[in-house]
Amino acid sequence: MTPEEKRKLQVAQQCAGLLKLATDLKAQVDKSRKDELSVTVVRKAAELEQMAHKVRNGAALSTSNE
Amino acid sequence: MSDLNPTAANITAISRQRFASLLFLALLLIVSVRAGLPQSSKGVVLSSQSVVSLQHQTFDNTADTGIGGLDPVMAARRMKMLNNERHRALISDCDKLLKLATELNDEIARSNSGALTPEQLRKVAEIEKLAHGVREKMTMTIVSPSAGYFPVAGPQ
Repeated sequence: MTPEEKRKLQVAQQCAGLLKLATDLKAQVDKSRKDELSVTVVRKAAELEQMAHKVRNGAALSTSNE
Repeated sequence: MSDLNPTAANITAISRQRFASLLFLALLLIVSVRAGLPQSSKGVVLSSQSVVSLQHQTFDNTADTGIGGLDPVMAARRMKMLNNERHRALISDCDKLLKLATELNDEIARSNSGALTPEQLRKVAEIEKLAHGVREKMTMTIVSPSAGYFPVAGPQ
């Protein structure tokens, strides 16, 4: 597997992870009540934020390496 | 003393009279001030009893009103409205998040490059920002004081 293919696979996996987290988050928010603090929603949102940050940083690093 | 002329004797008598009248006036002034002091202090200094009663009155006033001096019913209605608004915003943000993540995933699956385009990078940044907003909004849940507890939904 070439580095380019490896990188492509990594980005695809990260984006699939983002989509899965976003889907989970949406499901949890739909389940939550209006006057309730959902720990699951807070945790999922934090995970999604971290993952998006990682994807952005990884992309920036790969761009600067090229 | 009998050698003194009548004028000098008159002057001494007058000065004695003046001294006596001045002394009398001074005594009268002291007596009147002492007699009047407690009456005037009642108007200025609050006794500890009156301070306590004032404090009770203050607490009673806060008990009758809601947060920020609002009527409790109005406060509860306002909180309910804010929570509705917050929940609506949460759902809207999550919809946007899901849309962006789906679009990004489709674009990546179609593309042959391992690098992200500026447009895709913008979408990732938007996802990060929205996720941060969802977290913030969820932690800012407003609870009615009448509920008496803070409802927290644990991990499901």
